[in-house]
Amino acid sequence: MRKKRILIVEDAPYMREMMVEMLNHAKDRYEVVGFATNGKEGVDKYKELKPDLVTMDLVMEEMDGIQAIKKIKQEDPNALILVVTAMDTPENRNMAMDAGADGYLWKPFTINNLLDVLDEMLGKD
Amino acid sequence: MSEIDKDKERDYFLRILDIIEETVFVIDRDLRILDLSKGCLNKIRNGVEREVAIGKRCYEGLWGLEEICEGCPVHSVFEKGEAARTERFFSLPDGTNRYFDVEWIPVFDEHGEVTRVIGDIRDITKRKEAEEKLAEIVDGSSIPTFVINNEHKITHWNTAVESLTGLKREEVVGTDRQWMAFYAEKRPVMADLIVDKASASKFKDWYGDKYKMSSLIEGAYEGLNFFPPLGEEGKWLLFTAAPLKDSEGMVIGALETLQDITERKEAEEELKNAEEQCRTIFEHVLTPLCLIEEDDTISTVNKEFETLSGYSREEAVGKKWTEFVAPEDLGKVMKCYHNEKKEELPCCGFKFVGREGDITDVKVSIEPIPRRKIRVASLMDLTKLKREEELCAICEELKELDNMKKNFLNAAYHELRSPLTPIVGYASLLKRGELTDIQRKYVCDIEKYAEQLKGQINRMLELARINGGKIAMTLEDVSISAIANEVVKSFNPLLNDKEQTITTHVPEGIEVRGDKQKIIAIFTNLISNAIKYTHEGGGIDVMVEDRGEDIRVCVSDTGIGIPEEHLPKIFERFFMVNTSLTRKSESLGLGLSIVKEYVKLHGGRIWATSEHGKGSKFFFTLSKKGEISGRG
Repeated sequence: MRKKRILIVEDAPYMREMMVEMLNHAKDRYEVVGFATNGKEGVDKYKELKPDLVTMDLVMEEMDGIQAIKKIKQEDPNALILVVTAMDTPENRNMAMDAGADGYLWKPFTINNLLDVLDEMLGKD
Repeated sequence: MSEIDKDKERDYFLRILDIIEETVFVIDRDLRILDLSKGCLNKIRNGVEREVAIGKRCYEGLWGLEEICEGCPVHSVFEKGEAARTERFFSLPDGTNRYFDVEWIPVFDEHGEVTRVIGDIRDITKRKEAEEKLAEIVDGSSIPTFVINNEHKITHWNTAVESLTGLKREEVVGTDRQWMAFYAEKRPVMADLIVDKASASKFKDWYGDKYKMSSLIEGAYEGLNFFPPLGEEGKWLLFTAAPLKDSEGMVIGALETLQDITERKEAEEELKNAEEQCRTIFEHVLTPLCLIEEDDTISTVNKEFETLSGYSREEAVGKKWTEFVAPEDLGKVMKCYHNEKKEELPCCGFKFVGREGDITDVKVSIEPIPRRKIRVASLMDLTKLKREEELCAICEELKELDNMKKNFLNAAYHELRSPLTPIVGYASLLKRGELTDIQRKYVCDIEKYAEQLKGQINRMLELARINGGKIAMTLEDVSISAIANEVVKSFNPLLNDKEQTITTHVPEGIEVRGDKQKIIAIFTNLISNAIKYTHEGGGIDVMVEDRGEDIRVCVSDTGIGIPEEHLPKIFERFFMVNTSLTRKSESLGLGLSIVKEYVKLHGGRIWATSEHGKGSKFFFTLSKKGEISGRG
């Protein structure tokens, strides 16, 4: 089975590092193909890399996650986007859903939380 | 008695008659005049000698007629022996028209037979003319008027009184039903009392204090009263009754005039209301006000003026307004007072001098009252205004602070949770590797306390959000028994640890329209508190009561209880009974305030009772209809 390619959009370096560490435990299934540190970069990287899934932080400089989700979905309606945020409020949930997000993961999370949601989203195809 | 004596007596008698100028005559059964007084000759048959008249029949000798007058009762007086009266109109030979009243008096002989009749004639022309004039005046008058005679019978009832009372002339003239126009039951009207020459106490009996003696007409009375039977809604009448007297001053009837003053009364009433309204406004407006007379004295002040000046109303009234103005400002206020600039609403600021010489910065506007030579001055306490402005500014500042606090809480939430992510994340990664038992315990502790920290941060945010009115409710029909049982079940491991027992009294089938997650949070919080504050081996009870409109839930425990003085505060944010408990229970004191907000969102109320050392009972209600109570 082909490894699923993942783009991580996240402004905190320690978060990017940790997510890579976690995904290393599932090397057989997932491969991190790139990083972006803000929404704008995320959109550019998406166009360039065409990953199977994007993990998207919401609170970022330059362009926030909600805007980035909209842009990416505009570019590719079939893009899979997993929101990873500490702001788990109903308003944020609704905003992300309206923008077109496909999944949500609330910070903090364990490795099992991350792998479970990824398996669920990507195991479908 | 001899014939000579009789003649002498007759002469004597006739002389008396002549002197008193009475108009008397005597006739026999043939109606022939036996005697007649000089008055008859002078008043009726002027110039005719007595001797010519005597022996003639009365109609011929007295009136110069050839036949007996129509309807003359004289024959029946002879037959029945009863006196009678006739009134007749007569054109005198000199061409004047006169009315006469003739009284026929029988004279009996020793056998009781009527042998003669005395006729007593009275000239009533003046009375008759007066009556006709009266009829003319009454009927032609536009003032509602009626007349009764001395037998209380109505003689005149004019068109105006017809339209006022609705009673037609034909219905009442000749009757004594004048009361019907004004009262529901038979009673005297004022004209009746006049005819009866009633005493003052009688007037008082019938009219109370609603009458007085007329100052214009002697013997007349005036009254003012409301008559419910008149018109559709009753009428106010001003009524005057005056006696009618004959030429000898005898009361022969009474005339009553009426005036419908309902409109005037209503206008008066309205004016009174308007005055009352103005007075109330003047008194209760939160502005010091005073009225200034033409001579510069103050005639009225309101309560606010008393407060501003320090003078009581009685003290302030009569003072010149200039006494309240600091000398240096007098010129300025004077200009304003006389409105020299011809402004629409002249006003100026000045230093107001109070009772103790105290100075208040005020603004005044002086307005003349139309058509009256007084002015109304309204003052504004500028220092008070300034204070209010300051308060407003403080209020704004507080609002801003509140916003800052909310923003801070939101930011704090994000900033506090983000670093938790690697702690939780790496702990979970560590657990995947090879660890010694003690290392595994450390990692588990890290996870446990990170989880606790997350809970505290979540509660903090939740409250910040409730405070900002940002809470969204997801309404559905929620089964209370399902929730209660589910929550109780989730606490089973903890209950086992503390060897506590929990009992539930929850009727099946109660549904509440509400937000399921929030109702779960209410139950969870209260039950977890009960467990937390109850010693090992204690008991907890959950009871739900269906009260129709709402439900009442009681969570009771046998725990340490809450001191009475703390009960009102336990639902406040960050309140904790004591610090030692805080350490033991690892709480920020946010739980109950969130529960309270959730209960309020469900149209309910929450309260607690407790006996220190014996246990606590927490009660809350939830509206079944999903009514959201108002939030500020």
